Amino acid sequence: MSMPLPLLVQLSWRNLWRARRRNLILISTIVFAVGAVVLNNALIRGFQYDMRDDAVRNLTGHIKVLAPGYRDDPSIMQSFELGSDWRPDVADSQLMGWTRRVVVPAVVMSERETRGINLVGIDPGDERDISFIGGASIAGEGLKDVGDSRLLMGAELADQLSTKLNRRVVVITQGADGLNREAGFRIAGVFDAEGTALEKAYAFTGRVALQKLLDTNAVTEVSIRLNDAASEPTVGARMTAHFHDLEVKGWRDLEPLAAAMFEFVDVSILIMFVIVMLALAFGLVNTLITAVMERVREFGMLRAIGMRPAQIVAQVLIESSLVMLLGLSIGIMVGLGLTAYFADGIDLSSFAQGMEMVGMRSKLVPRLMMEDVIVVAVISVVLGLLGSAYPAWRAVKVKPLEALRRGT
Amino acid sequence: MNSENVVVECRQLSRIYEGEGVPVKALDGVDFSVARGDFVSLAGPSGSGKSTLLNVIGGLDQPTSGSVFVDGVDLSTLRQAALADLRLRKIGFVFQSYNLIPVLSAAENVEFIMQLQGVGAAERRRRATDMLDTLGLADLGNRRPGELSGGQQQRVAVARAIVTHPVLLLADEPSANLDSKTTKELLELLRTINRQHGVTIVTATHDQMVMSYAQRQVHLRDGRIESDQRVAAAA
Amino acid sequence: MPLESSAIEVTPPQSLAPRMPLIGAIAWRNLWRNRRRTWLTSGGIAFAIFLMVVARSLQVGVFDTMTDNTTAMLTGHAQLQHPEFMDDPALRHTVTDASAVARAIAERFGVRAVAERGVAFALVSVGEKSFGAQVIGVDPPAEQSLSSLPGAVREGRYLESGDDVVVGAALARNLGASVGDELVILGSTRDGGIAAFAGTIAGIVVTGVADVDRSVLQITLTAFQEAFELGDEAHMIVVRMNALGEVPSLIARPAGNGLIWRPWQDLLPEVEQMIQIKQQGSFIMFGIVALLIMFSVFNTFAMVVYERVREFGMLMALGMKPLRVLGMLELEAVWLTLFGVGIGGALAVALVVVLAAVGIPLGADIGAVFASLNLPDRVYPSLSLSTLLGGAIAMLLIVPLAGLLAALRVLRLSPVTALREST
Repeated sequence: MSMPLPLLVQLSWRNLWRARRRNLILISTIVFAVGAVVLNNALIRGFQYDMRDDAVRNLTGHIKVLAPGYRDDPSIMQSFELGSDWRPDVADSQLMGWTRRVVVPAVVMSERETRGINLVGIDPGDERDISFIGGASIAGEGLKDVGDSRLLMGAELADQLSTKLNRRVVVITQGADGLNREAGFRIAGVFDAEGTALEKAYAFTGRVALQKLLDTNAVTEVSIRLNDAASEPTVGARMTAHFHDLEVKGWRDLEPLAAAMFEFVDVSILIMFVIVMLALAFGLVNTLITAVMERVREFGMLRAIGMRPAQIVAQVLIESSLVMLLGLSIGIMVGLGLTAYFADGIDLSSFAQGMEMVGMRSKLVPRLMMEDVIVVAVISVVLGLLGSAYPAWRAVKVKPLEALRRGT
Repeated sequence: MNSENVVVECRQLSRIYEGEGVPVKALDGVDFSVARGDFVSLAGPSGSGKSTLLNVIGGLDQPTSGSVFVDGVDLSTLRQAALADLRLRKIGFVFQSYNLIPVLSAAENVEFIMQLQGVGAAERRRRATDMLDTLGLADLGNRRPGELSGGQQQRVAVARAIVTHPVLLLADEPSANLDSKTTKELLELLRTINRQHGVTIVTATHDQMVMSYAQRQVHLRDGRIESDQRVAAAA
Repeated sequence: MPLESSAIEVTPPQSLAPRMPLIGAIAWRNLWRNRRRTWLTSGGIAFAIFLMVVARSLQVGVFDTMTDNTTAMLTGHAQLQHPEFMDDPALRHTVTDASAVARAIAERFGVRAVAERGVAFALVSVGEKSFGAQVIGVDPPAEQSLSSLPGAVREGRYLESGDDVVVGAALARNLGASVGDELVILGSTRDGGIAAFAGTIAGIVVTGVADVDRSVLQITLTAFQEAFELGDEAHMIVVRMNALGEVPSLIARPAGNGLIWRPWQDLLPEVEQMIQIKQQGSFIMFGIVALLIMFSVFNTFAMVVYERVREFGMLMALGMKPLRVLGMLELEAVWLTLFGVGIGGALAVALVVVLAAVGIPLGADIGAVFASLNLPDRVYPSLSLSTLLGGAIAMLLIVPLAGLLAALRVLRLSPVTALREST
């Protein structure tokens, strides 16, 4: 090219300022689209990861070790014993925590009502880091230790049983010998789990206390929570090797619905983004074409004084890329700013019930993912270039003489 | 002032443009009047003030000082909307180019101004057809401006300007984009209108041929009237 | 000066409204002076309308199917309950004279089906295995026409005699039970006495909905009322109308007997609110797209005004008032909108009509989500004309507004400078 690139860029830059108003509007349009998409992506990602974390925290964990028959027949008959050195060799840096549990179906009866629940024997210290019950707000007291034989139940369940703190309830469940055990439990605490389903489904007691009631030393599951969900396959493989007679399952197997939803969100983010970008494309192409058509004379003159077609194309492309890059960078900054502004979360409590069904918390905290921002940037630039292809072609098609004659 | 016989009356008219730097006196104390039925040409070099005078008379531009009466109406007392109405009722315009509404056919262009006046559809159609017939444009009524030659466009513009029977026809460089043959045809047309329909015509021009058709030639220079003489019109 | 006023006032005022067809024609033809631009701008509008209508039609189709299938399973379209039963499903919160009430509803309202049910939590045992479960007492013939559950029996048969029990597949598996096994229910009556029932598993139900398969257990209402000492009391009168849309008029009628109507929205708040969330989500989406369209239209009109300054100057010199010129531009905006809405709407309607006939197959992943929500693996959109109308109205507000904002410059235009402007 006989014309140096810096000159072309300079020419394009000045041309942008010639139609200041129009380009300003176009840039604001891009800023708006990009900013909205960045914020929207962050919010949806927040929702997506909340949903997964909730699924994992609902006693699922990233990985679970179960007796092979437990998922078909969740009872103490499908349990396994752990030696004192039951934890396999997994680097502490990968783990948020792990615990063993006894989870058995049981019937709880108050003076008035009867409900079916899952009775969970826990190690209260271990649960702190890995499941919702460790962090739930509790009216009354939490469980002291593995030997604590009091009961922790959800607020919703307490309501349904018409019982409350410090009252006694009777629990019937099947022992290791297959015969029913019946025992009285005092309610130590009532937990609030936002998600009402959890409040109805589970009641907790000390693991050892429950094992005593059931006449067993076995547990029904080992649950592991990882620092990074991505390390699940490697840790899972190690667990499979260690617990070779048992089933080792990842959260996707344990919560197939949540896993499917998780994938579904990936797709919908892309769909939304493409739609917004298409809507943007109409305005973009429109403005770019006008910018070219207005300057037919000028392009003719440039051709007449010896500018090559390729240089004309370059000029148009540079011009539209400048607009796109300006809009894009400001838009990303606006999007990041908005995301930071909403960093404390957006309160969605009016939709809380529905949110819980789809596994969402009532407060939506955006989660910015750089991959998304990069995808937005790349697709926008590609769109900008595609959008300017036609105008650039038009600009080259101009015949110098015709264009000069056409002006008046 | 005798508004029966005087269509335009300008007194001590000044128009100063406050641009960047030195203010420009486009009109500098002009006294000018036009008798009913006259055909006046305003001539002078660029910047002499002829277009400004024409615009001020047409109510398109407002004088810095002085007053203008058109058909007895003091323009300085009128607001923009009333000025628009005055132009609509009493003044016809012919410009040098971009004369017609590009998306309307010749006949529709002629009808358009009557429509603004609120003339009924049938009446409009009849008068537009008559007018185009009169001006020898009968076959061109359905063509859009883009399909007409420059001379034909100006004739349609004249048709549109006089179809509403204005008291005054203002023409700003009407021949600027025409060759001499078409210019002659246009001027013959204007003369006919002037003589047979009694429409007063004021035109700003530096085309000798246009001037030669006028009964009165006014020359301006630096915003002042330099000469004002009645002449025998060309044959 | 009297002359002046008379000269002006005899003229009828120009109205802003385009009372004359020619102005409309000018506006329409002006649109086509720059075909490419008009196509692109109206293309944006068409895209927005198309998107709104198709997306909403899909949503409505999915939601209607979901609601229909979900309510058909157990809840019905509405239920008549004791006012406190929903918050506290205790045995004592009953509908008295249940069969009479059910009969009255069947006679008075144009319902598709009515069924009475009793509900209690109890200990359920098969052999040595026991589970806490919700026991539902039903009237088998009524359930056949109201609920999809009887049709979901995979092994054995639905309830016939007072000894019969129907259980969900997962519950049966958990109990280690199969058809023909003896099943015992132990609970407490209203007075704290022991409620006992012994029967035989007649059928096992597979609905595909994990929650239902894990928990459902039905016996006949007669056996239920006997075991729990309820006489002619039940806990709910379940109603299914011919269409979901008839529910509002049903529940608008007084329930009487100190009872209360619970429409499906109350019974399945999760479904209702999931619909709302999705709706909000699409409104946000539409909002973003609409704003983008607004920007685009603004730019288009800014360009239009810029290019036609001389023409506007000429029109004003001819005596057209600036407001009138603005009105003409607005008319162009309206035409543009109608054109875009027409194209987008037509394409959307055509697509939805075709898809509604054929259905859209879902992929395996999404299919799994849908199956768990009671949906078939193929969705059928249901044309949402209200969205078309609403979208059209929204566009008719947005586009002329954007055009107006861009064209306001016309009001400040002086004919002299406008005419002098070179293009």
